[in-house]
Amino acid sequence: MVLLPRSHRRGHRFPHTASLRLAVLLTAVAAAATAVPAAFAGEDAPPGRARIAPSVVHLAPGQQQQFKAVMLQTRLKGATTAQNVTWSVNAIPGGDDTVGRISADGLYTAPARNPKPREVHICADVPEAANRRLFATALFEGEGTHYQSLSQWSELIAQPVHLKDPHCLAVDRAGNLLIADYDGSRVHRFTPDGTYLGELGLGSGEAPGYVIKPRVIQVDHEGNIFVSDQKKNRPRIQVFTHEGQFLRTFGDKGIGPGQLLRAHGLAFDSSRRLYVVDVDAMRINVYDHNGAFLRTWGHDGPGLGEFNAPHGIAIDANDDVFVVGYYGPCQKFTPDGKLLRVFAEPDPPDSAVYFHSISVDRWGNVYLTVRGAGGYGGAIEDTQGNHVSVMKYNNNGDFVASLTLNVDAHAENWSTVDENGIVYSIFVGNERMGVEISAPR
Amino acid sequence: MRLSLNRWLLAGSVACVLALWPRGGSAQTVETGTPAGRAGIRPALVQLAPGETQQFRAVFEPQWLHEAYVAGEVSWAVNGIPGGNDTLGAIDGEGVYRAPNEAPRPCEVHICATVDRAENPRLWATVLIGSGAPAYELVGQWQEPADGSGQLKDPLDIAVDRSGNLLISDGGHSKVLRFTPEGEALGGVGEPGGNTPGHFGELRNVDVSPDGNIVACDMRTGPPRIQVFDPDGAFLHAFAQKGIGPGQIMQPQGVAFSPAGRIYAADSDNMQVNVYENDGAFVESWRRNGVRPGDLNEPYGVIVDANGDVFVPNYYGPCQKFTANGEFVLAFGQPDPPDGLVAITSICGDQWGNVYLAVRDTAGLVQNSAKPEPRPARIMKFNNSGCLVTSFFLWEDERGENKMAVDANGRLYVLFKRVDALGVAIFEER
Repeated sequence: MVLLPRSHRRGHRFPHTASLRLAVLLTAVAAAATAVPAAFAGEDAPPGRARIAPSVVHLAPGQQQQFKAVMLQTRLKGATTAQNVTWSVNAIPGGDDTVGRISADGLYTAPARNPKPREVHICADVPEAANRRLFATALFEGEGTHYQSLSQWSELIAQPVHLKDPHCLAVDRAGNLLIADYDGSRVHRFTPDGTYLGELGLGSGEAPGYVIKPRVIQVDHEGNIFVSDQKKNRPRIQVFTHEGQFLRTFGDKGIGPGQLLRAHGLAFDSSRRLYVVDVDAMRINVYDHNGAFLRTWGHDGPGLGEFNAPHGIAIDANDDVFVVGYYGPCQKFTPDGKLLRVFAEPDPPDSAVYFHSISVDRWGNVYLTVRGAGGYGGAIEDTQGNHVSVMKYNNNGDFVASLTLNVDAHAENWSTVDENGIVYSIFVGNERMGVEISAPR
Repeated sequence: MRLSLNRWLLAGSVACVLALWPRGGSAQTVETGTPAGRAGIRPALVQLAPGETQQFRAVFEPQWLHEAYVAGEVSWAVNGIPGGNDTLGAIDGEGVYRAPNEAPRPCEVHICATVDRAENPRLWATVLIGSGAPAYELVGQWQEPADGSGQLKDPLDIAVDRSGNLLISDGGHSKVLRFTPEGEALGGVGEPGGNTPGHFGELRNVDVSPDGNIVACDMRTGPPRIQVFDPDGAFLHAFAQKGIGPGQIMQPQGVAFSPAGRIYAADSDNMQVNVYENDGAFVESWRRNGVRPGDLNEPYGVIVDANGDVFVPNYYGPCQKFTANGEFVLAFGQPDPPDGLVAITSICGDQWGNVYLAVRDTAGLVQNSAKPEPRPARIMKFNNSGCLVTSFFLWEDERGENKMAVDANGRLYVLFKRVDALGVAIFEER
């Protein structure tokens, strides 16, 4: 039984050369001499994109690996080696003894003992690139990252206390958990260990500041809490302070500019713009921080770059945008909506078929909440018979790890990751529903 | 309760979208139940130990508002042998493959799934048995002086004819030369100079159609650029004028023939792929000048697999796979400077849907400069899903653009232009 996507492009290792040759910039070739359509001549080229290679590598303690940052090909110009690259390991410039060290030209030396967790992030800062922060993954001891359950709390479905129909969770500025309860028409706040802290806003209701059928929550960089809910079946987005005080509301039902049908994912870019993925309109709406509509992109379809019931959105440190469709795959776009990469292809019947939520950590890793064929209870099982709930890919779309929840059934759930890489998941099992917190070990 | 809620929401979303944007095709597939569409094979590449088993599955990819699902009626074969055999490994009706107890030679075998309902009914996965990568071995070579004083003056492209002989388009002779694989001259096709049919101005590429016709492209202004000869070399017809108008070509980079009888021609200057009927009637152009996935950035060759899917390498990478109608499927062969792929100079494909790319670690018209800078070149082999299977170096002193062709037995013929010699090298997988 295969769980992992085993269509592994075999790791591309290349011998370390003492000094990387600087690629020769050869001017454009034959086409320059012959006719080129005038419309394409003389356009200002935007900053090119870069990539890091290799993307995922398995290492043993003390082993060395050459990494490189590549400026990708542009129109009529070949790829080159990136200049002025700053290398770090888990954001430590040059790395250290614990996570390994990396030289100024990208030669990484693994630490003498396996690091904890057994996954480190090689980071290349490439000032000339549109996506200047590049991330590669080094995995140790062959098997790579394992997740363990840190804690779990739950309520009996037959005798619920606060939860009725938990749909989404988010981590607030203080590290507490916000849970959108759809049928319960409330947004609850809990400590990570399940102590109830009350509800957001004024309670259940349709007036501004009240919550009705909330679907998604997201917390912005200042700690303000954005909630998508539906007043009289008309979608809206409400904004609350961290303390829960109502600030404003915007959005209305429709397919006109700035209007929404069903907001199922919220994300913020580095300029505080709000991206909303609309599963029914099958597009992305972008608003400024105050809710003023800026633009829309995307359209429905099953093809590459199109949206097929898009359910989740997440934005990384480069402001690149990841959108996952309910039926997969996950697609990576530039900040202005140009397709970059497609990954996490569905793999029935043993692996992911339905994709419900997405989040991104500080290293650009992408966490997808998934379930298998067969609807609710169609749990994905790994080779040990564990139910896989979350699949983790790195920023380049390469598979890193999967995460198991200790639950008896695998209904539709939601996961989010905090800045420390801790994964918080909502689960609804056969008898209990609640939250499980997991971390890589 | 939760199930019905979800179904209700989904049904609501379908109804809503359909009501607002009736899109004929999509709506019909949803209403008529399970759509077919394209299929994929999982896993696409796997390394197994002798005797190890692996479950393969043919999967229909997600359709609009429809999840991916396992294909029901699938015929399984190994290297084209239904059910496989003891040497190559056996595969059962459910797609469970068992590797042979001893690694075969070559160690690469092809799992073939046939899914009749799929738009791409033939699926291939790669199994590598044992611990190593497949190795290619030089099994034959013939060469001539690099100064053009031999039979070859300025060889530009290579193809294998219906009889297994080699066709080399030679710009110096301005004709297509025919050789046995061992290099014995068998005469030529076409005549140099002039604008009349069957004559070449600036000859570039040569390809062979499934029925054995020889198709040669040239760049000279005036007569049609793509000329078709019968297998013996008699001129048949020509099409595609030079230019930037509909159906016209500026700089041909080879043609390919689809199972549906269409001809695809890559044009690196117009940054497009032109599609013609078998008789040369123009169908459409794929005009996507750019560097994003699915865009064309100096398309430098074209091949078509048994499904009719089209592979087009951009000179600066990557190589991209399209459907017969030009819908982008996937990209592979990403640039990897300074010591990897920077430019793709040639593409060919075998019967298992594998794609071979000749690559260099620098771009530019090296062979036309007065003092060509010799650079290493290599061949990279990818499977039909874009997974890297193996790669091997040619020589360290390659000064021109390698061109290559593959025959029905998977034998690779590489046209080389080294510092001291030019000729043909023959590689086989061992």
